[in-house]
Amino acid sequence: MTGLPARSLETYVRAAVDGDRAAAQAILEGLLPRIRNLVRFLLRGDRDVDDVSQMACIEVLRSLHTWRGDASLQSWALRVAARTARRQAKKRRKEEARRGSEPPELHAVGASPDRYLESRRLARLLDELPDPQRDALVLHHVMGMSVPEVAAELDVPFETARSRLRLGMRKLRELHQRGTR
Amino acid sequence: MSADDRIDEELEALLRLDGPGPARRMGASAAASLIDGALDGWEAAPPLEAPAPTPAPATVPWAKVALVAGGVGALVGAAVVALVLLWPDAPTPGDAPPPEPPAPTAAEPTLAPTVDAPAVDDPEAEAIEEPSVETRSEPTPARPAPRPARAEDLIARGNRLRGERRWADAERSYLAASQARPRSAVSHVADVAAAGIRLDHRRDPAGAARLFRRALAARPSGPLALEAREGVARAERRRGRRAAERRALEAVIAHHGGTGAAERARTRLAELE
Repeated sequence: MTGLPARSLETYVRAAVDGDRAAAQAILEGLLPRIRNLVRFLLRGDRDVDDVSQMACIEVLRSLHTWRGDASLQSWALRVAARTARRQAKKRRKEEARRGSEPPELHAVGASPDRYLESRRLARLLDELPDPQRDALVLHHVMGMSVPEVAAELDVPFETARSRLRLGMRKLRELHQRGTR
Repeated sequence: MSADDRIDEELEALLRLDGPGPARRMGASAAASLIDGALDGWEAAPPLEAPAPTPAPATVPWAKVALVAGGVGALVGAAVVALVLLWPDAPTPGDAPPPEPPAPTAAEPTLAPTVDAPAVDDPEAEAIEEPSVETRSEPTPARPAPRPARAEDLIARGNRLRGERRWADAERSYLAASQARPRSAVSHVADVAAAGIRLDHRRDPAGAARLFRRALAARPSGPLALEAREGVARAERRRGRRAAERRALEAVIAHHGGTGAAERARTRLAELE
């Protein structure tokens, strides 16, 4: 949303809540890159990322009237998107098993790994984690939620959330080391 | 710091949403399509009644998002500019009320409502219905009824109301103007204006399509014919009627070849193939 002054954000939100398509479009254009990245962190593979991102965008707009402005719009919207993604991930798990794995991504030989490729590699490592650990890691590290917030979001006791984070990080580290040896 | 700690730091640095994240790279047109679909889905669905998640403390201010969004963010400006170019008085959120649309009298000052048989681009278009203009029941006046408002005044009033974002009132005013001078240059402009509101602010693509078609029937080569034809395509897209959308896009190309609208229509047609 380059060129959009931060002070006019609330004006955009109000207009979108009133049904202004152009305002809603402007809001989504600002949020979409992060929503897609978040969805990819939460889903296995790339196949459904755009479908689920679109659903998340719809959910954000449909819930927009509940945003009170006491948190950043992005922070609030990402929570809405995370819930949508996790809900969709559950629904699609069975379908994934039926469809089989995605074809491997091809990279140019000798291409220097950049941040994008590293980030994609990390997402593939996350694909190998159990979903509870994966969700906890993404909520905590990607979305910046505290452990109590993660526990509340996942509806599990505090100790369970902490345990998932610890085990998830350990597994992720092992996978990373295995891949770099 | 242990080796494990270093690895954890390295991994945590990648578990972020800013910068090039893990989602596959997406071109501007694909992003625009995704957003367009989301907007269509949003307009077709009512707002959620359930409360949204409790907001967390702000982590990244919106201004930073705007900067990070980079190329995608540029679409916003382009979209707003396109909107303004397409329809000069389209309101832009956050700005002062835009200038009023071209007064119909400026384009064709004294055109009488003597229009030939309507020429509609889409042969399968729905019958054009009379707009439902809400009339307020008022007590019978003791004095002689005031002169009905002139169509031009009604359009000016519609413009003012639209500037105030009073969409329903603005739409009523435009429709009243259209009824005051049916099948005229005035109705052509008023119907396009009302249709734009129905489509963009009232979530009524079917009603919008009817009004755009009526505007074309009144003045197939009128000053807002391009907007009307493109509006039909947008409305049919919103309704999910691909065949009707395709016909409308073909009409845009046939009547307005060489314009940006024709180029957009070709792009969309290719997507529909």
